[in-house]
Amino acid sequence: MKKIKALLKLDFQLLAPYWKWWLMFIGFSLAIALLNQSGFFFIISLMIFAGTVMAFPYESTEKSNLGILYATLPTNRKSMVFARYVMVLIVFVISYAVAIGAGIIIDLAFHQTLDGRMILLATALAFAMYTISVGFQTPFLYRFGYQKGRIFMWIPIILVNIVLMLPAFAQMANLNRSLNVMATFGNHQTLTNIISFAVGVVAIIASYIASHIIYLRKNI
Amino acid sequence: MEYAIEIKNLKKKFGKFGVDDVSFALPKGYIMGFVGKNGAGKTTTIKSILNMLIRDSGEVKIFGKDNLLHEADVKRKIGIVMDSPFFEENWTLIRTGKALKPFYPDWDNDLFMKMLSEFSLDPKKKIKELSRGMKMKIMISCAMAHDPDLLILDEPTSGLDAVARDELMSILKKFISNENKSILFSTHITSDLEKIADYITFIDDGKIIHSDTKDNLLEKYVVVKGGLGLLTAEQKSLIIGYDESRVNFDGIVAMEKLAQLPNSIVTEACTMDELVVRFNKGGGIQ
Repeated sequence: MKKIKALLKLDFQLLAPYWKWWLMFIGFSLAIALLNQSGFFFIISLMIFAGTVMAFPYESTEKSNLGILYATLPTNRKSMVFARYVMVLIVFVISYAVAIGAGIIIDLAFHQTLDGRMILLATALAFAMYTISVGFQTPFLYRFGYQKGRIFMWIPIILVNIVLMLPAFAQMANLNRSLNVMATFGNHQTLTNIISFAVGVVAIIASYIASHIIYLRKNI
Repeated sequence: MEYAIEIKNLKKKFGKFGVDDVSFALPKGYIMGFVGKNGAGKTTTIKSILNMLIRDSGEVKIFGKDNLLHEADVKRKIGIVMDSPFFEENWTLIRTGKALKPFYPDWDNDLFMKMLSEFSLDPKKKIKELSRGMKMKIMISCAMAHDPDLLILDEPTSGLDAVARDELMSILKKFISNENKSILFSTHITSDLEKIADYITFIDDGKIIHSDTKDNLLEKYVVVKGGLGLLTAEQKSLIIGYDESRVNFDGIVAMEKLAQLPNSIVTEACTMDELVVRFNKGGGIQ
């Protein structure tokens, strides 16, 4: 337990210098929310970007040769991977708290309200987006390092943001058939919640297992 | 006899590099110089000891414990210095110590700060602001602050000036004055070996050529010189690192094979320099 705490402390120390990226992601998510006039989109977008934040400890590790530091520490690779995924969950909680708070404020600004059902939906989708983003990129980062692996972290973001921004662009292009993402989720909320949580849990567990296998065999 | 490091039949291949059937042992309380030219396999061996490289086969024990099965226990007692620093470049020296402290129950922060002071290192300076010699000193400070029983240094003097190298050698001598402490350091600088090593292990092309006490090795071989044409082809094959100029030849030969060479050859006592250079050149029936 002490080792996990020590590893978490070390990992967060590597994450701290990237606070400017946080601000940039908040700004970008705000832009998406304003485009769609909905705090809901802020929540989803920020949670996807929060997933990319989890790549930064790998950048720091590569830049400063910290792979050797980790290898010299009196701990094992299993604990290192476990601690990194505990960090994933902690960052989710912190990011979600920021996202939901700001999302509610944005909705109030557009004279909308996020009721309990919508908050639950937002939670489920945010969890799914975040865990898919982190879950997808992390094994690649372990396998290829940050420089080569970082391209993979943008794939889920690009795909999901295209889907999120389609309603706005559809309306701007004045298409007859516009995709109403909100309505689709809203009409099947319970199913969406269950599927989102389930997908998120599966994504993060699969990612953890893959990272575990990859890192235990990796030559540093 | 207790051993700080025991390596048996270590094999690790990756790409063009690797080590093959490496075996040697460092008795507790001694210093071993691990010698070989660039690309010989020194760093590969050290990384295999630290589990940075996952070995293909073989056994590595540190103080009698397998380095894979007891990884955390083993590393708690090892201090490591590499040829380049491995700390976050924007950390200050104080922060570096704080980052490492939670991992070591025996971390002595007073000792850490004392070492920084003795090395004239400003604790508020960042890692990226340090010179090559200073970076080596901060690595030494971090390595020694948790009271390790084994220091492993990979080319620690590479890129250092003579004064800095001498300082490092003094630190290592002081460390080893405790008979429970051991040191393994890799180098291709022979003067480092002559100053402090008790044992020498030669590695070349991924294989161990020799591993013995420094005194035994120096007594085991002798430098031979003579005129060209003095030796038969068979006699030349006995000479390690055989080299010839227009009129003379030289090399080293094992003492037990000296009798097979002509009486007229000149012999001289072997130095560490000669041993390293000649072993690297190869040849001789070893």
